[in-house]
Amino acid sequence: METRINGYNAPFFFSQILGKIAFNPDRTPAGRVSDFIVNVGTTYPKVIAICIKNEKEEKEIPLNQIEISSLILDIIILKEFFDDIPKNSIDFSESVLTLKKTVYDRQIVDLNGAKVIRVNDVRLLKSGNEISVTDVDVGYRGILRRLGLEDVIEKIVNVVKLFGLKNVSLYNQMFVSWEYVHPVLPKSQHDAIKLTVPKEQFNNLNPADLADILEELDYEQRESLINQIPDSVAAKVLSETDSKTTQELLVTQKEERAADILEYMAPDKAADILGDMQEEKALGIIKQMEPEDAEAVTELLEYSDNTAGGLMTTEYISFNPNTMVVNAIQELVKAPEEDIETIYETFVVENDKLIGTVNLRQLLISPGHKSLSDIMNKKPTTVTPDENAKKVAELFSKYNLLTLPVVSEGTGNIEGVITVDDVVEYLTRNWQ
Amino acid sequence: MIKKFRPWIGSTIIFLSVLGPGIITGSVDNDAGGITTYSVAGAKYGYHLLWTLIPAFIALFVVQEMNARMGVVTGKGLADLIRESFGVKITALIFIALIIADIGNTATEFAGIAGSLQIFGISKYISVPICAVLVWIMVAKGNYKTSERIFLIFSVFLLSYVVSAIMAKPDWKEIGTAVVRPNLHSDFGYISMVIGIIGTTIAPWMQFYMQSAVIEKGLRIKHYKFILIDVLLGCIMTVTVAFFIIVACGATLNKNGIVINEAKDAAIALRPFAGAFAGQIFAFGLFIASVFSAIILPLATAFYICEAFGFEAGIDKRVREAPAFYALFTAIIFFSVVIILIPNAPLIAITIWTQVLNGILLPVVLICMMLMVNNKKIMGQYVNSTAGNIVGWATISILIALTFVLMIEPLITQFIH
Repeated sequence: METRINGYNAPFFFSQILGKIAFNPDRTPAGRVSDFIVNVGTTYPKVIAICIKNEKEEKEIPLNQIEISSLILDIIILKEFFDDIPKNSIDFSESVLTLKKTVYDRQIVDLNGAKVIRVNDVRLLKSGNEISVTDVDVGYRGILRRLGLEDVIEKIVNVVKLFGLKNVSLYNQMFVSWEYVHPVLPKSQHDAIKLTVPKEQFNNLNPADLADILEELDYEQRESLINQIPDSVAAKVLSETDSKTTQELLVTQKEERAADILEYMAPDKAADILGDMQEEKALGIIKQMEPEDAEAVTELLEYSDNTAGGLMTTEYISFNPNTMVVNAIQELVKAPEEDIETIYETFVVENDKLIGTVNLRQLLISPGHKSLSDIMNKKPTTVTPDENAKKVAELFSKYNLLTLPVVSEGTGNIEGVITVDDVVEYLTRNWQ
Repeated sequence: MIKKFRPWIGSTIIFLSVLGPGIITGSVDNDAGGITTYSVAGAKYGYHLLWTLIPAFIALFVVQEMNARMGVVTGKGLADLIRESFGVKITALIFIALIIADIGNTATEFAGIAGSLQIFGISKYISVPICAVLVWIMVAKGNYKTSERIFLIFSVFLLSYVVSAIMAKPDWKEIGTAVVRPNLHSDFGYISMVIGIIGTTIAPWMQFYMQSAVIEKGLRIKHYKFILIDVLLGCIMTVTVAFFIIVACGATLNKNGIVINEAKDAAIALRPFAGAFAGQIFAFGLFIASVFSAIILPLATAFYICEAFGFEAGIDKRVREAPAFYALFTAIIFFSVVIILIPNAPLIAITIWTQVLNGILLPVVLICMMLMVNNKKIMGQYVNSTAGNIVGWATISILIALTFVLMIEPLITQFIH
């Protein structure tokens, strides 16, 4: 057993303490425990105060005012009389949060499992004079404990086990270490608190998972979360969320930030999103974007949604026909990931006119001194900007394409490139 | 310059896209239990009880509007909100009662399926299992959009009761008088019928369903105007169908002094007076209503339990993603089907006890709702207005008083017999 009474490392649950009577030094009741205030400045937040509430008022009692040795928490004794302890002794502008109001019974983000979970209980650890939060309990057991049924069910399970059913899975403990917990705080609080969760944790999450998380949260939490993540991550996430959610979240952002986020997106995606917005709002955001991005987006906005023009991006890699293979590969290696969606296919362009395509494989297996015009595919499949999106999808399917250049009808000038991820939606729609 | 911006979208289109939650909830409200109550009321008291639909309408509208508002403001389901505001114990109590009540309610729906198809000569041992499997597949394999469309079509079918009623050739002048100048009785049977009608119109699980449906549709406060119309249409739907059932039974069965106990009896009894076709239409309506509610009840129950306890849930998730959701959903259907298929199952006792449970639950849920909808931390600027609160609390007090009587009444009746 880990628990050593009066020793170090005694784990206990928040639910076991909440509502307990706290006593004055003379052992008269002072009130009941109503909340814990923790400092989230460390990986495992330290409890800095315990809220005690009686009929008259609620006070935050700093931990050093409490007889810590009693904090296996069978008995809580204050070092001073409740009435003598000053009110509002906690500075809420620091990285503190209240367990009951923001974690207990709430939905939080589990960064490790990449999902939204509901907290049934919080596990704390007393170690010397300190108490810190270690895990949140998200399992059935937490619910049973809250209902006061943990012991009864445990006995029943033990009996069941005697009959050979060793794998009673209902009873698994389910804890998520605080390391991976990201509480999504209400609006009023999140500005003041610098959460310890490093931004990399968010960068490591798959944007599609983060998008699912976002959609599962309630409206206020969605806004909080999108405010907490870096622009580049927000851009990836909002490219994945359903269009309603994307719209809602971008519209709540200041125009500057919305513009910053959109700049990180592929221009075709950004144009899609802006096209669904009210014109006034969209123009406001475009005005805040970097001129280069703004221009790309505005250009794409001219095409309607369900055409090749609406699907294409204007950011792709093109080379002069005289470029040597070795130089082309060097260029590709340098291509910034966030700007260029794909490097599998590059385009050979002469005076804006598309004259051929070269795929990555061809580049890699060809001798370095050859020029692109020698190895290029001279008759690439192309579409015009006003081609129907369904037709475009059919072309992708028929020719197993990864990319499809869009060229203007008369001049043969390259206008943009459609990548396969832009048409997946149209390909899957048929069998739904 | 910018062509991609969608042209101004007419509010009709917005409305159509917002439409759904209210109308569906309103239609599910006329489930097998509801149709039975209205048929019996019409057969026994003719048009004398039509006036009760007015207070029932008001109460329904007040409650559903609050649900819709809570949903669009917070984005949280009612179960979520109750869990966060009142803790695990109250939540667990509510949901244990709800799951038992809803198994009973679902059993009533399958009884409706069995009864209505018996009119067409199909044995319940065939109809009930087949429908149960179809219901299960529709949820497990469906997604929200297609389901909603099917549900909306179901809602339209419910209007078949209008046809039944017109075929019964009622005296419209007499009906008008009965609504405007209600003929009040003071006997015990009449009062309990009044309570029955209002009680069947507002069931606890509907609040959860309404709020979740609004969220699942992604509606927000800016749609409020349209949501309000949707809720209003749903409530009108409920009372319209109820109205025509009472009229159909009042014009035929009551005039000829025929007493019935079940909705199925009404379908049979209608034949000699309004023709075999009217009877079949009536049975068809009962069938549609029962299937409709047999889908939504288990679905809603499973959904809000998962919501409250943090399990993955939702019709758009697959079985592997949301095991608890599908386990609950399947279990509710399974148990209610078993109840119906047991020969000589005590159906009347089950109905009564389900009613009692619903009766205990309704005030608990409604009071929780009133407290939350007035909480600034939850609702921000969209808390109830004073007028809204007066109407709300009045509605709730009357409902609580009525359900209390409704609840103890069957116990007393049973005790007397």
